[in-house]
Amino acid sequence: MAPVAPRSGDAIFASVERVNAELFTLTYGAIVRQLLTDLEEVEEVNKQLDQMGYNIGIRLIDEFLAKSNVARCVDFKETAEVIAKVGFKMFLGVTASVSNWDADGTCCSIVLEDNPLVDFVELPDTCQGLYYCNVLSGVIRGALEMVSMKTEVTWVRDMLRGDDAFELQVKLLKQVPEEYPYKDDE
Amino acid sequence: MAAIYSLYIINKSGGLIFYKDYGSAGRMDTNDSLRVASLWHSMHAISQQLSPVAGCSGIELLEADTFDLHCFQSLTGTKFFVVCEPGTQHMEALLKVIYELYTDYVLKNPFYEMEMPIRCELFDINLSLTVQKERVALLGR
Amino acid sequence: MIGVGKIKQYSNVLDKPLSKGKQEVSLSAFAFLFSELVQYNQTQVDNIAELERRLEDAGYAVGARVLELLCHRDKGNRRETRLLGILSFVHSTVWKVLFGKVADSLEKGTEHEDEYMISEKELLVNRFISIPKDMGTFNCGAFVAGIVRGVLDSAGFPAVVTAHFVPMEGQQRPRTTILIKFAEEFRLPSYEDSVHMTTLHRRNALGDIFEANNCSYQSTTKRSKVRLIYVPGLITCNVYDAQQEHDECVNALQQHGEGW
Repeated sequence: MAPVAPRSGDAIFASVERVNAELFTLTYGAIVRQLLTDLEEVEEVNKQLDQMGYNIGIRLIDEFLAKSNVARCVDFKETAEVIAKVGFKMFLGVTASVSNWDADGTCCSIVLEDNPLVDFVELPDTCQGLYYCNVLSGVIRGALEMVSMKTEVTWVRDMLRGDDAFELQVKLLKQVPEEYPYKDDE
Repeated sequence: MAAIYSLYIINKSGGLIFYKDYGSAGRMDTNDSLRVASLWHSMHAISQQLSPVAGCSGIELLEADTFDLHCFQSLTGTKFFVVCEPGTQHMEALLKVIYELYTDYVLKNPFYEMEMPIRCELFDINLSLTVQKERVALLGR
Repeated sequence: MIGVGKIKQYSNVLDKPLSKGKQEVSLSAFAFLFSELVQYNQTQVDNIAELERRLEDAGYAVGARVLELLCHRDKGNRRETRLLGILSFVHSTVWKVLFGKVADSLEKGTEHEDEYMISEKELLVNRFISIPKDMGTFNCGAFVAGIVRGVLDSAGFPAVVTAHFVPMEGQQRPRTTILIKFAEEFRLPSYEDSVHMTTLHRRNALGDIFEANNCSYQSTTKRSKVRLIYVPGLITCNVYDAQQEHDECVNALQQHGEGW
């Protein structure tokens, strides 16, 4: 197929259907509240949010590919840039930047310039260990796994916990080679 | 008048998750369609192996005397292919639209389980509209 | 690049100016999140009725907050106290803010008094959702029903709210109707009502109503919040943000204290 030029995050966001961020924010808040009631333990809620993000990520990646026309990235550096510049923009309308690369280019930070998940949010004393935005780390992990990259995504800074930014660390663990589809059980 | 004969969607392990026949003479039963899907999945992989240079994404077009087969594989490994009358135009664009319908009406449906056969009414409805429109566009040329 | 984000840090979320509500995210982001909300809740239930209830609960939490937000931002801290007023507020203002459009229709039920219907040809939350045959009449609009119930309840109009698919003649897809049944006997007096009532009734009269509903009541006035709390035998009036409207609240307290 003739290659189609990749589109910028801004161009995609401008062209897709959008909704008021408050619907999104409040719905996410309702999810977190349900989890806190269901699971009680903050640590369990963190895990479940990450899992839910993962479930979203493995589905959302196809929409990302379909709408952005990005081709296979040449390396992890490009992947991280595309997540920050195109991914965050086209879904959440926010920009993010990549920094803090390690020497072998397998670990970096993604710093969000805005975060629609946390409008109206303040962590009560009982939830101090909560990673409120853990769904985001799960989404990145899930999405990358579908394009053969095993990653570990963790929060380095979280403004709800008093830090000065939202910063995710994305670490590439393994690039899974594409499998040849023959299996002996056929 | 150019016609689309059938559409297949194959998951990344080679399982047929969607098959729609648009009135071709050679309509297949379930077993046949499953077998064809699985074989195509393998042939597609073989074609990648045959490539003299690395990074081949597999067969995109197969031409026979009675039909063309256009195939699109997403980076996530899902394959979409249409079988159509020889020389039918715009099939790449059609496959891309179908991929987008899949991301909307299949992947955003909470009742769809990943990698499983697609049974989503809204996907069917919107797919029919798209294929019709495609026909109309061709008729209007 | 560290700390160059444009988000300003506030030590307290209340110091942060309330957003204008103009920010947007993609419909897809919401749709994936909503889909996951439904999927998660499916793992927590044994039957469809329970799934409906849990989606409604999630929606309720959204509705209660939307009312507070909109009253504060769009209505100068005023809130509808009439039934038709609040219904039209839901049908137009709430819908417009949450779903980007006014709902298709608001009708009064023909069979029962106190029944109203808000209908939508295609509910935003249902845009990409096909209900499997084996789930019968289940409608993810239960979430929206919950939002409506949350708004109404928090405004002092408790109701039973449910979502239904209604087939439409000549349409391939059914529309969704949000059915609202007000329970007159459970209607909670609004703050205005209660102030009015205290001039008419003795403590017990008001106390009974609050007791029957086992509730406290919160009202937002121009620049402050007044909360009425019923503790058996005593109604207290708490004032938030007291400085600006101190006088008014003292008045309210005195008014309530009268004759008790």
